[in-house]
Amino acid sequence: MDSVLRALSVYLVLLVVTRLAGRRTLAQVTVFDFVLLLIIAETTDQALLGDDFSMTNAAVVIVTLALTDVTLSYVKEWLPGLGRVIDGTPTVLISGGAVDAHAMRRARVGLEEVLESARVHHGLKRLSQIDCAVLEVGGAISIIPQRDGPAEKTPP
Amino acid sequence: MVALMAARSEPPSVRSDGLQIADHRALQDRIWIGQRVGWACLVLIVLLALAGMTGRGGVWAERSVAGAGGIMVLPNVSRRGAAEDIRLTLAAGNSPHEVVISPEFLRFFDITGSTPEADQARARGGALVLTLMAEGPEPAGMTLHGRARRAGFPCISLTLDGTDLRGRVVILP
Repeated sequence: MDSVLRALSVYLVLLVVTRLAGRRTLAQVTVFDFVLLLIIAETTDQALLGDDFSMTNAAVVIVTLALTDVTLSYVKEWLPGLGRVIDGTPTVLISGGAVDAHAMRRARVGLEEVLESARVHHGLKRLSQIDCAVLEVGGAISIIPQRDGPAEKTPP
Repeated sequence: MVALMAARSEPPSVRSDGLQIADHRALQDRIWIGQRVGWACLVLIVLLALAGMTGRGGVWAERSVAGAGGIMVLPNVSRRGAAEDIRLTLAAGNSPHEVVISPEFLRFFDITGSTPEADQARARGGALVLTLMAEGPEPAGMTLHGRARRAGFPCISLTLDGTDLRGRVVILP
């Protein structure tokens, strides 16, 4: 019973903390973020297993985590509103070429990051070449180039 | 449920800028506010932890309970499974000293040892009785080393040379 409660508690804490941290952290995983993830994993390991390193305990914890995840996915399906709160919704950062400063500030996304995504994925040079930019639920920034006037591509 | 699934599979409406996206801006505004409130809560948790309200060190981490037989310094907050020290100061002139650890205490804490080691340890009912010889006119010090066994809010008690000392401890899971 102890292992199940531990797994459920850790799942809940991680869910809340990662949701509070926001999507920006997922969009921009730096080397330090990666190290931080490793530290969190190591800390979580202790909380999940305690002083019982048996296969049985590990199996119970894994099964509980997997089952909780599946259950939560069904709950989100039944209650779409809750799903939007847990997973978030896409955020439109640039609409029709106009920058939504409020959304960018709240989502903690800078223009540099939007321009970087525009360069990486579309080879765009300037902000004026972006029609729309969306911070997706997964943390990636999608760029839709302006349609009128072909987007200037950088040479390969 | 089928209706719900069907509603969920409906495509989002097309915005004026041509994006077919369900961005739920009003909900997002509420979530952003909630996030900031959550950050404030995280700050509060860290400050409380620094102050000792989550156990293991800090200004409010421990308190002392005094009686004629001596003083007991015990943690305000402990954590299940974490090592914990309970410091005792035994009043001078009562050697050999007798420390009786109540069954309630033992229900919540495993006593793993003491410094200095007790000269004698014996069971009395459900209680543990430690006897310590002390020399000199000064009060004798003794530290009980233990580990919280379960989460709870017990009122633990010790008897130092016949004086009951009680203190409530919060044991976090």
